Amino acid sequence: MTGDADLTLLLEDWARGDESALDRLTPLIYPQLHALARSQLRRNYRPSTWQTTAVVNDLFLKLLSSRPPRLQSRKHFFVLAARIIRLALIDHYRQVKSEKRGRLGRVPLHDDLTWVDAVSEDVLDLDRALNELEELDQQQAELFSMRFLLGCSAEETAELAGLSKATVDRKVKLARAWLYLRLHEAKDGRISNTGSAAS
Amino acid sequence: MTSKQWTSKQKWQLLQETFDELEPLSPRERARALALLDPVLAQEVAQLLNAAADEQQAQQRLKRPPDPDPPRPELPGLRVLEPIGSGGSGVVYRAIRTVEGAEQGVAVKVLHKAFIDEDDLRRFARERQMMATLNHPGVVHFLDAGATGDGRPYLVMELAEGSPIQVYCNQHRLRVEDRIRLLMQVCQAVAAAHARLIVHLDLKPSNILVSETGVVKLLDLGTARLLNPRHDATVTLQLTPQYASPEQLRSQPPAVSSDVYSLGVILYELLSGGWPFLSRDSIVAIADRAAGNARVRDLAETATPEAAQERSTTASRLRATLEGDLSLICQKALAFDPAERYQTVGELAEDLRRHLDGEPVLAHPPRLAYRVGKFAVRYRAQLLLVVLVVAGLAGSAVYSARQLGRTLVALGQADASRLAMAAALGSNDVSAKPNVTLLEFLRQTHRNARLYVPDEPAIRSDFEAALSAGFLAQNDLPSAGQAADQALQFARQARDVRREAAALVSASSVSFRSGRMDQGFGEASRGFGLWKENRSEFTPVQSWSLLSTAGAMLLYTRPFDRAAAEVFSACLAEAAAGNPAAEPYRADCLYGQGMVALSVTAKYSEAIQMLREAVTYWRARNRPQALSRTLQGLGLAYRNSGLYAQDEACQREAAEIQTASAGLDSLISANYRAVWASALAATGHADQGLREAVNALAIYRKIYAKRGDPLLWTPLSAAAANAYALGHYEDSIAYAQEGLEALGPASASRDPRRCMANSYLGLSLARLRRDAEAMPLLEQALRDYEALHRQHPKMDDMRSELARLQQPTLPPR
Repeated sequence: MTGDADLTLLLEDWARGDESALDRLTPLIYPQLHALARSQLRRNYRPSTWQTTAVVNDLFLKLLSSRPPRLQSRKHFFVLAARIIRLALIDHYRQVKSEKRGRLGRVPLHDDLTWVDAVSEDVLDLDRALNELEELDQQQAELFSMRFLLGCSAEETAELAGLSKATVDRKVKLARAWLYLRLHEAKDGRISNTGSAAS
Repeated sequence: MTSKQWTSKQKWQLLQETFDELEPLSPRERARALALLDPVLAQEVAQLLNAAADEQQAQQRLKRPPDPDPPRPELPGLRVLEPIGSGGSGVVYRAIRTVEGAEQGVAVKVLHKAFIDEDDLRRFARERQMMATLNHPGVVHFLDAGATGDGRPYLVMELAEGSPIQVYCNQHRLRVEDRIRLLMQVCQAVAAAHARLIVHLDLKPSNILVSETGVVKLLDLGTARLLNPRHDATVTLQLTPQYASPEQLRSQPPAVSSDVYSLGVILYELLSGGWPFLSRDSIVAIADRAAGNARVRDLAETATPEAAQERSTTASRLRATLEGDLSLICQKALAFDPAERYQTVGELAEDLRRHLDGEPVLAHPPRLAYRVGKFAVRYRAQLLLVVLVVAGLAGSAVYSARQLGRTLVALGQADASRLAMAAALGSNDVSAKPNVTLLEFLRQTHRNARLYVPDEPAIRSDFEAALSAGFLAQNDLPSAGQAADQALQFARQARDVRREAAALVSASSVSFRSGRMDQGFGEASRGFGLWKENRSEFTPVQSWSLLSTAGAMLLYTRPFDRAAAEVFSACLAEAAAGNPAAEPYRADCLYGQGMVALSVTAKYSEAIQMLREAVTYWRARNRPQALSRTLQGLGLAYRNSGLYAQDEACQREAAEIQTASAGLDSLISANYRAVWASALAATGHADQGLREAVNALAIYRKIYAKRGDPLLWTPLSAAAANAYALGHYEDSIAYAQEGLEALGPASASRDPRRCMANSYLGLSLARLRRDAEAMPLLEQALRDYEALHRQHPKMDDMRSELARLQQPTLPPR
């Protein structure tokens, strides 16, 4: 119960503009979310795609049970959710890796983003790249996250961000290209590193 | 090159603009445009453009292939054929079962192995048990259960042939009326489950099959839970968010009305072919629905020409059919608030029948009052919270917020009271400078009460009571009085003795604070009287709460009246020692009884004993407000027993607590410091004592500017005692006289306060050799103290002065 109360207060602090609340908030929600994310992957006999919607729904069940997001803080709420999903993806990948279980194949992060494998080193690269993108253009990173981590449609993303759909499409297009490039650079870097270690 | 070069935001902006310009161009045009750019920028843009193209190719290349079939399980007595569906928890196969030589087609649901944990097993067992008890033609029959070789549980059930309901309807181009009849069949099956206390909680088109002959079968009662609370009521999250009710999405306890909601969604889709909300699958859509931010779209508006075709009609006719009743029925089934929906599936089916038979339906457009009521019910708790927090932020002089919090707990307003308690725990005193913004807020809330609060006397009574506490804490006594009055009237209208008694007691605290002691005493007495006459109607907590407050009010309004003793005794009798829930009230009553023993019956050792018990309790609970109040009483009990050092220690601690929590310039700390100041006068620290007393008096005067206000007594008496001890007799006389004025002519002649004022007045006059005035006062004071069995720190002074005065003046020889 205490946890839930804290959660509500932190959410409110955060919506009010206290950025540090997010850092205090994440560890509170994170364990449950991680459990949910894992069970989503296990539940699917053969995970064919990262069950973003399912995971996020569960996240909302958690968050909404404490307090529905107020209208003015909706965007914050969704940005937060995307951020948590990012953490969950990384953690899930690490867990899977440490368990050394046989992989069942690629798990595309999103049907429209098939080249990111949600259960591979891609998630670490993506996280790093998104951090860099945030430095360059916070909004662009947010738009990308809403589209592909939360699974919002372009229209919804536009509505949430208070932009036109055309602007969202434009910004997301560049973000995709740039992230694709960054992920490939990272992959190439790994391949050459492995190569030099082997030689 | 690496992207590390893109460090500046401006550069990124430029890149974005250039990328946008060049991206739609043909390769040749791009090349031409790139050639005109700065070479570094050109290179970066070119790289991004290439990446965009590569990315699109990768996206296409990696599109996921169709899922291969999972390996089929080997099950005894069953020939497992192809999978026919997969849900959240498992895969369903078609299978052939051989029973006594006869072959039978069945469905087998096999749970995923990796999926199984304790909860799943429990749910599985429940599903098995429930399905076995439910034997309705509209629900698939349960046949058998077991475990696979590798330990996966499975269920064998009747093989339901057919298509999901919306597929069936569209394939057969069913008209709207036939769709309604089909949904009424679904309602019957769901109602049959409800009758066995099974809620489905995952109703959706794919769980409702319709056979070629038009018979409905309900699948997958797997998430249902038994409504019967004696059974395991835990629900795991197994739902389809699109069809789940808002309360399910918020993880609140679902009920029959949650199934009504899901049926509402299905009905809506079957009728118009559209979706009831602007958006369907996304997170945003679902979160908005959970939070009540999504409006149900007008049914007719969502009907498309294709939908009309599928319903064997024209677009305009379909629209006309869907307008009115059907739209209202959907609205009612899809109400955000479960209380506004059809309360049973049967009611929904009945309204659908009425529509088909041309009778007026029960669903009606929301009236304004209805909507306002709904708003208020939803926000009532929040409003109360706001008011109570405001109250809590300020008030503890009469511990209104805490008591109100308890009263609300008693009345079942758990949320409101929880915050109120929290607020009260960290509460401060009425500050000398009322918070204008909060006060204004309260006044507005009060003015607009009708907007917020539904026209239900009981709720309005609670609301007014909460506001009254808020006003009281903000020191707006007239408004507090008005609100308390209204709370009482509404409670009477509601014919609710419990609320009436509570309202009387809170009115009493307003009267007390407004200086209307007799009225306050009367109100608290009547509150207690109501309790005595109707005691069986009060829960223990309600009794404890009411009695401990009423007792306090009686004590405060007539500090020397015995009436409070009866109330505290009643409360102590109700709140048996050892019951943890009763303990805070017990401690309050021990305090009250201790105060009665101190001020009324003059049994100081009894008072010391009870107050010490209460002090121990509050100290252990870390409740500074209650602790300091009790310490003050304990100190006074010591003082009257002549134990001045103990008194001073108690008063000092109490004053320090209040100062730390409320600040030096607050009324409450002024009060405590003044009482401490009196103790300082008796322990040889009159310098400090006078300073404290004078400071306290200044703070009091800011709020109680009127000369003669009874509340001014405390700092005046402290000032009189210390001024006397320092030899400032003129000052002491002035303070004592003003103190007597504050007590007013009505106070009892043996009011200890009057005795005390008289004593210092008499002493100071005697020291100034105004013997004629001093003698009667001193004689009176000594008689009074004797009668009160009370010690006075200057008892010796009084005796010697009186002896001097009574000495016959010897004529000079």
